[in-house]
Amino acid sequence: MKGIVPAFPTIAEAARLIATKRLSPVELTRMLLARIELVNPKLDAFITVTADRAIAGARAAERAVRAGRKGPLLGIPLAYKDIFETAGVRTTAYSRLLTGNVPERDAESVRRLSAAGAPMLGKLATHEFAIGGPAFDLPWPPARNPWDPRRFTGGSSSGSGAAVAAGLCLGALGSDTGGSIRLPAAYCGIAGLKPTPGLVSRRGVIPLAPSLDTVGPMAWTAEDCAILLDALAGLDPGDPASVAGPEVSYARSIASPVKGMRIGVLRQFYERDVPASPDVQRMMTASLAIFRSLGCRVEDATLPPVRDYNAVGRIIISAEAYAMHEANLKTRLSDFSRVFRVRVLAGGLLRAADYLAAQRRRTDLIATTARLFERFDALIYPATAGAAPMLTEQRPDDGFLRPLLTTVANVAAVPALVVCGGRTSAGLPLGLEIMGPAWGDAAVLRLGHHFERAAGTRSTRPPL
Amino acid sequence: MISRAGLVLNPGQVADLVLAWRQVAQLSTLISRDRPLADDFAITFRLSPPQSKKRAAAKPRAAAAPPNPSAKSNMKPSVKRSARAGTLKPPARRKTAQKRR
Repeated sequence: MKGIVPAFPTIAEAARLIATKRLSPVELTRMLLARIELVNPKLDAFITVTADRAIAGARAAERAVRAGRKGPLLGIPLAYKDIFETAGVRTTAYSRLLTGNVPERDAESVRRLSAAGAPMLGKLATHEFAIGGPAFDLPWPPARNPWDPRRFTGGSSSGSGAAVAAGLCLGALGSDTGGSIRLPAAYCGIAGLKPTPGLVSRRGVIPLAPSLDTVGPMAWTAEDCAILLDALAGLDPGDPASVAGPEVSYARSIASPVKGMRIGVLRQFYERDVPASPDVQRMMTASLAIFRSLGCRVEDATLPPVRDYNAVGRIIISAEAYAMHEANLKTRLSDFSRVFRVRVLAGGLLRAADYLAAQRRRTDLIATTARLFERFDALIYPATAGAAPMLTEQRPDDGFLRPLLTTVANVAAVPALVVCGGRTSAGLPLGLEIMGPAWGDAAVLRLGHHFERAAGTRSTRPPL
Repeated sequence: MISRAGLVLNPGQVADLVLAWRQVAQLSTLISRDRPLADDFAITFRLSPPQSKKRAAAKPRAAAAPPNPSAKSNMKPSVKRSARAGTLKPPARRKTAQKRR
C-alpha cells in the first residue's frame, strides 16, 4: 500500500483514501502516535496511550482492506474518554479511586467501533467522574485548549475535545449529562453530538446521573459524527434505556438538501437569559444569514427560561451523582478532588421532595419543548455565551453559578449538535448549537453539515 | 443535616459544602411546584397489561415464524423514504407493528 498521508484528514477523507488503498491504516496510526508524542505534553489530552493496541488494530484493518473488506471506520484511529471501559486498559475516570481499575470488557460503544475496524489510540482526559471542572489536585493535570493552552477546553469530555481539535485522533467518544460533549466541542472548535437518549448504548460507561447520561461522537466535522453514529446507534439489551432507533444511515442522509427546513432561533437564550458576548452575537447573526442562504425558513422561537432547565438539570445531577458515589464519599472523601466535592456533596443534603419536584418539572419541560418542534425542524442558539475562558478563571462552583445553555437539550431529552460557528477576533472558536426533536438526530447532523460547508469554518486547525 | 447524611467533614470541607448547598437550595426554589401532585408516581412503575388468551395463543405461531433477514424490504417505499430522511419516530413504528400482529 502506497501511503499518501494528508496532514489532518477527516474520517470521511481518510476512509476514502483507505478504501482506494492510497492511505495505509498503519501509516496513519503511526503518524498520529508520533503527533501525540510531540503535542500531548502541551495539552495533556491523553491520560493513556495504547500504541501497541493501536498498531495491532491498524495492521488488522490493513489486512482486512487487502482482503476486500470495506467500511467507513476501517483503519480510522479513535480514542475514548477515560470513563469508557476498555478491556485490559486502565480506566480511571480521572479519579484516585480508580487508579488500578482495569476492566475485563470494552464498553458496548467501544466494542461497536472496534468491530467496525477502528484502532484505539488510547484514553482521554476528563473531569473526575465526568463532573466538575479542571482540577489541579488530582494525579493527572487537566487537558488544555489547543487554540490557547492557557485556556479551558470545556468539559467534561475535555481530552476528547482537545485531541480531536489538535488532530491527535480522527474521532473520539464523549459522554453528555449537562453539556459534556458540546461544551468542549464549542471551546475547541469541533463537532459533537449529544444523541437522543437511548440511541447509543451506555453499557460499560461509568455513570454520572443515569436519568440524563448520554454517549455520543466527537469529531472535526458533523459528517464524521454521522459516520461514527452509524456504527454506534442501535438497540443494546444490556442498557435498560436503549431503544432501536430509526432505521436510517446518518452518513448517507447527511447530503440531502436542507431547503425549506424550518429553523427556530432561541434569541431569548442569548439576548436575555444568558447574555452572550459581542463575538457570539455576531456569530449568531452570521449563522442566521447562512441558514437563510441555504433556503431554510428562519423565525424566532421561544421556550421557558434557561434557568428553569438548569435548575432541574442541576438538582437531578446533584442527587443522582451523590447517590452513585455515596459509599466512597462517606469513607474516602479526601481522595476526591475539591471541585468534585463541591459539585456533588450537596446532593446528599437534598430532600426527596426536591428531587421529585425536579423530575416532575422535567416532564413538563419535555412536553413544552416537544410542542415547539411541531412548528420547527430544529432550534438554534449559541452553545456558550463566550469563547473558552482561562483555566485560572474557573471556580469549583461555576456549574451552579452560570446557567449552561447546553443543559436544555439534556433536560428536554432531545438530540443536539454543536458545530464551529465562527471565531472571535482573537481566533478562538465559537460553538453553534442545533437542537432537534427526539429521533431527529439525522436532521440535526444534516443541518450541521450544510452549515459547516457554507460557513467554511473547517479549514483552520489550532496553531500548535 | 451533615450528620444526618452520614458525612464526616473537616472545616474546609464544611465551608465548601455550605457554599454548594446555598446554591443548590437556591436552584431548588426555582423549580415550579404549581402543578398539583396527581398520579405521576403511579405511571413510573406501570406494568405491561396481562396477555389475553387470544394473544397468548397467537404468540407461539409468531415465535415459530422464520426470522426475516431483510426486514427493510417489507417497508413501504414511503416509509423507507422517511426513514432515510431521519424523520421516522420509533415509538410510533413499534405501535404500528404491534397492531399488525
